[in-house]
Amino acid sequence: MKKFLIYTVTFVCINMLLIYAQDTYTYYTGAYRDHVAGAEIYQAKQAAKQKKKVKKLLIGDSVCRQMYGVGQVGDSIWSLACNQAVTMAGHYCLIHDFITTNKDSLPQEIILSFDCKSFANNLDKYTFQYFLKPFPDKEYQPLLTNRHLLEREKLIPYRRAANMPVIRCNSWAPEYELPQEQYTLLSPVSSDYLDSICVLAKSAGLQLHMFCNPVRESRQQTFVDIYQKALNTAETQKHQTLWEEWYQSATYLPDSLFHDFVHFNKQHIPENPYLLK
Amino acid sequence: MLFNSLEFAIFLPVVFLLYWFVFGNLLSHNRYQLRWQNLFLLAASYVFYGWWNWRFLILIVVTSLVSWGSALAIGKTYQTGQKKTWLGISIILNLCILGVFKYYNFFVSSFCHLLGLDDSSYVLHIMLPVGISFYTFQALSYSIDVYRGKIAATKDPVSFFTYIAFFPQLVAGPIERATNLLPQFQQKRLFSYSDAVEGMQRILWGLFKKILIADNCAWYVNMEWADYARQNGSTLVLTAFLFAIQIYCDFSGYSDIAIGTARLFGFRLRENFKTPYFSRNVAEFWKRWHISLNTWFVDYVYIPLGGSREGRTRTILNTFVIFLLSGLWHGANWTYVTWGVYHAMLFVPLIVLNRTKTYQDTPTFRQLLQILLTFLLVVAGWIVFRAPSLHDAWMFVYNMVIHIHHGEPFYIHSVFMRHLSVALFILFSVEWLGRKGTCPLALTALHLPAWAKAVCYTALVQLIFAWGRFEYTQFIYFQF
Repeated sequence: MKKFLIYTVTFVCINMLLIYAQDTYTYYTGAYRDHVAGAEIYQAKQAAKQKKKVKKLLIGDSVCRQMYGVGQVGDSIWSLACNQAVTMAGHYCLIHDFITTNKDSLPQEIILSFDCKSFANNLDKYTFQYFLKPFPDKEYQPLLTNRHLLEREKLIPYRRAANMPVIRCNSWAPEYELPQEQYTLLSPVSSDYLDSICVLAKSAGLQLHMFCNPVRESRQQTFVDIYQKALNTAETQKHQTLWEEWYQSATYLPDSLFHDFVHFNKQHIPENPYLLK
Repeated sequence: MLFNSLEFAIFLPVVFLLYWFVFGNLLSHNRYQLRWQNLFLLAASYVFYGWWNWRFLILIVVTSLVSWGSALAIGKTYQTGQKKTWLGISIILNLCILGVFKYYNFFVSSFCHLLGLDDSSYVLHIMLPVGISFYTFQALSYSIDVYRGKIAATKDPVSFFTYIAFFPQLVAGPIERATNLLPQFQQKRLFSYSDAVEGMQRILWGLFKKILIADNCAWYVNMEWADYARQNGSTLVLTAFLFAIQIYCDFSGYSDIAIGTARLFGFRLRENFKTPYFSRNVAEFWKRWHISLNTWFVDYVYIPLGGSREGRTRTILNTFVIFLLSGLWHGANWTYVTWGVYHAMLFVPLIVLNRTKTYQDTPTFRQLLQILLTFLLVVAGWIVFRAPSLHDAWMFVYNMVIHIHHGEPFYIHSVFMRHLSVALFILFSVEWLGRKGTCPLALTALHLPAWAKAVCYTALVQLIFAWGRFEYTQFIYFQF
């Protein structure tokens, strides 16, 4: 038994050292960003830290990313679209990064592009992989002090491990489920960070616009009902103009163009549906 | 908890150390040492199983109580009629539990659809307990073996409950027989260095198959199945092949980890896979794939129905029954039933031609072609198995054939294909070279010194961490 334990512990220690060395190497070279789960978020993060003289900054979820990609769009648009799983807090961090990097040549407008479901994210089972790991405390702690956010984060197991390089550079994430509540449109985290985005845009002197991703026809009634119910709530009243613009921008497309609830089939992705220039 | 989870990585060494040091060495002079050790294993097994949902424990305890109690009653009586009654009670109660949780909604929905009714008022909103098919069959085999006189009914509830709930094989097999496993709980276990080493080798091999191969294949297969209607035919062909690899590595990987884990605790479980994709025909395939389930059906259904003793027609009928039940065992969906019938139809010509033996020697060129043909036939069957519905299975095959040159040819990230190709080369090489031993990773055929084996195992661990997928993907057979 002693021999077995000694050999096993030695074997495990050697392998842990090798894994640590391997992970440290991929972490510091940044190579891990291309092959971990949520690679698109790291791409958006990198794009957010680039110096770019553009007129419009585009922020959105995965449908927006389907339509506009990440990086340069046309001559004057820079897209940081990634995934709704980063939560509105993550989108706020991306905008903050871009504004900080480009404070000498700010864009004129920030455009938000989201499906109605994206606003309902109040942290979920994907948060560890898609938000906690790409936006570690060391870098983003000053931006992530919101009470609702911190309360929900506390429910995520091993959340502090998301800051460790050895965890960040692979796709491991714990399996968990957070208690979910039903929201009419906006979750508390989304509401608070939408406020923060509005404040950030105003303080930087940028116009803020919000567009709705194209909606499949079979969801039209549900979409309208959600909006009507949310119309007179305190959260939407705060930014009435923004929400009206969002609702009016919605287009309804045939279900056959969609691969699932929200995403387009590869061959049916519309090009520049908001006619951005 | 999953075998490839952080929780299990902590659970296993803690249980191992407590099992051998506290309940083994420290209590070695205690006359109840064996009972304490079994009790500890039972508690650990319930913690393992209850980690998913503590409510699952209620069912497994009920199943254990029913089987243990009825076997005791069978053992106490000498009258055949009463024995049959108690056996009937055990079978009916256990199958009722399985039927309600697994099949009720399926049959009710199918019946309602047939009559054009809305099934929402009739279906039950209940969760399918993980591994219910496995432990139910294990419990049933005990009752039947006691009735047949193959094993005496045990009066020790601790050893029996532990036999049913033994955590390495509880949720996805191998489906153990009481004649093999129960006596192991009733005799003293001594730590064996060679058993423990072999156990670790099996665990490592299982993790390699699951994390590196199965989960990477799953990533691709799930992506393509989600949008199969728009894929090029060649993409769908690759998807079908990769699913065949995925299900083999997922299931046999779990069995390897289960067998290896049990070996760490001094238990020997039965083998569940023997290089099934190297089979020369479908009959041989079914002697090498999920061996514990197939032998269960042979011993407890096929032979009681008459087996092959009642003439060719009856043999063929019995074969169909077995494959139908086997398909249904896998899940409450017509795809599984169709998959079972498909294999029955492949099996029947072999019965007629009397070609059902298993080959042991190195294949000739002709036999290599037979291996390839068998593999292709099995891959075709997996399409139906994987499909969410029969319509999807049909459309998948239709698109595979009709769209063979349409649309964009398959594109897989070259790094993914490179990694997978290397992993598959390692898989088939190691499994082929190790086919005659109990553990392929023992690498006995290569006659390597111990330090060289250690280097190989280290390289394997590094590959798992470098190329493996660690997003949680549940073992496929957990849903059964």
